[in-house]
Amino acid sequence: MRRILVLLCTIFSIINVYLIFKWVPTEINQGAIQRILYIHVPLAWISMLAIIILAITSIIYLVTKKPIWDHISVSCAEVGIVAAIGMLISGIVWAKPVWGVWWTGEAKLTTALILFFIYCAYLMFRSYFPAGPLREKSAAVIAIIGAIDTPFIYFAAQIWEQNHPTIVIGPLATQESNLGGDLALTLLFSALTFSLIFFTIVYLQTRYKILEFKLEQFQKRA
Amino acid sequence: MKHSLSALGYLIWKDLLLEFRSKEFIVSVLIFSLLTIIIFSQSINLTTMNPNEIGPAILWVSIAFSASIGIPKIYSKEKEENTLESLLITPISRDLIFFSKLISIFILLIITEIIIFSLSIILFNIQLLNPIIIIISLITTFGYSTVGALFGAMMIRTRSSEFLLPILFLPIIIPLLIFAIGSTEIALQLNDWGKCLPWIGLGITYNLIFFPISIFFFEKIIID
Amino acid sequence: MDEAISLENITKSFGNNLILEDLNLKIVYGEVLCVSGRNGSGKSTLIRILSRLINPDSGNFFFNGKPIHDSKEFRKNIGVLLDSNMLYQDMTILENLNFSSSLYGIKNPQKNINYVSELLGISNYLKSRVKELSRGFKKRTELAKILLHQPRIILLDEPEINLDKATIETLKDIIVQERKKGASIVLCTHSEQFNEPIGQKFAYIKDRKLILSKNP
Repeated sequence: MRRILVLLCTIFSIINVYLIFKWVPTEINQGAIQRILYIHVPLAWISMLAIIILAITSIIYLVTKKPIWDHISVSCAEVGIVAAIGMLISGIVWAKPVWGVWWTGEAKLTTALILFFIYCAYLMFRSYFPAGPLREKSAAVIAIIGAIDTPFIYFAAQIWEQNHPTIVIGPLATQESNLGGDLALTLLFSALTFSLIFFTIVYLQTRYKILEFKLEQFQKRA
Repeated sequence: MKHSLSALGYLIWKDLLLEFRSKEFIVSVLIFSLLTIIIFSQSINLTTMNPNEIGPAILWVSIAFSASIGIPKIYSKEKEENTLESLLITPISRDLIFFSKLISIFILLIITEIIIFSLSIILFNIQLLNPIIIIISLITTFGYSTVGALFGAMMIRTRSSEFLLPILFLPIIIPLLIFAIGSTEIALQLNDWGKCLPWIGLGITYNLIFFPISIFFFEKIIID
Repeated sequence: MDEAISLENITKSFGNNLILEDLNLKIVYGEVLCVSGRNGSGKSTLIRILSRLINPDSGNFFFNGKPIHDSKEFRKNIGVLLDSNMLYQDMTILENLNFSSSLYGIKNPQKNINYVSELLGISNYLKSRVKELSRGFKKRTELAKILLHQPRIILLDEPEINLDKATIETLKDIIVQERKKGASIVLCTHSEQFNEPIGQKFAYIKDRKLILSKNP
């Protein structure tokens, strides 16, 4: 299982790199910089997916109290925070030439940034709180509340935007980029690849955490 | 029911009495928020800026920061003296403990806000005595108290609560913070109920969702 | 005799430390159970499990012979002296007792407060703040607090600490009196002062196991 997943990830990644850098034609309006989007959008998708899965597994953990769900939750959060960092950095790099600014108060950006802080809060809480069932339960509650909070941040930022129009002065800001067939296909394939990598890492991390947990149990008995 | 209400009353009375005698919350929160406001007002040139634009932001940011400093103080009594356990063995429903903390935080934050608002009126020359702004502050403060009462309870078992609470609390209340700043701005500039409605809808929805969730989770995180 | 609390196959661990393993215990009304054991052997954990302040990792808990449905009803019937502080230091004894009786919904608190404070000799200090009291008086106030609602199950965790000889005698009298009234009492202690004549059953915790014995 493990080997197959890793092999699949490798194959997909190689095809993905080929598609992004070689196969897909350069977008006319934005130029080469547009290729960042093939990485940025999947990363954004992963960071959203991770918080949703994190919330779901946290709910299951609170109901069943089985440690495995807690292991999956932590793994999701760990992958999620990496994806969120990647999304922020790739977004910033892309925005400067296209929008003319590194950062703006746009709703999606604000949400992404706060999402990153929610992941931080979750993981920091786990590392500072004394171990035990209370920590796992509290962390699950934080995850669920964080996931519910995310759409609120988006809506709040959107109303904010309506009242405070952001000034985007980049050379290409007004031009709508049209996603042609090849471009859409590449994006889709990239999203698929990143999802596969996400699930593989979560799977490996969870396996590792289960082993760690078993070792602890063993030491306890000894 | 009647017994629950009187028990709730006693729980709040106990929190406020202890606060009145130690003054931990009020002193730390007031000094901190006053400091934030003064530092902001000193570092910004108020003659060139429109105070109606910059005032609400400074006001609500300072309240959010100081709430995150003050909320652990409400629980610090139960934590340092470890009285939570003796509260948990009494035959009151655990929801009552949550409600009492929520209402105590709410009352103390409102008192703080009254003082900070008066100071902002003087410092920034903005007209905060406005029914819309009063409703906005009630909604915001209620949301802060709900989230604060839940997260504060999580912090009882950890030593680093003063540092950990802001990190959990601030990202979660950001929608409310944006709501408070945005709608206060509109209220100050236009004084128009209609323009505030989408904001107020957002604030009320936030409370309607987070209040039941917090009640539901409170018992889960308070007992091992 | 009626069962008050019975524990079946209780196991509890904190992090990597297994504290209690496969513990079985029956507590009966009208009886005193003396549990002894070394420091850190799990006596306080046992008290917290009995008062349902911590949930065991596994095992069953019965109250009056049945699994618990209404935990409020259970909590109404227990009085627990914990090893941790139970009083608000910035309030007076009277305020503490009043607060506690309001949470138990006691109809006429003044009567009960007068009774327990007479019993434990704190009636002259009702108006003093707890933080100004000596440790012995704090302990007495805590005892007064747990007796306030006349519990049928009394769990005491090392009650002799900080008490002088005379007060310990009073405490013994109280325990005997409560037992005669039909209360069930669990006493965790490593003092020998409770060996005679109040303890009828003895138990000790050794190597995570609870062992019952006839003699101290």
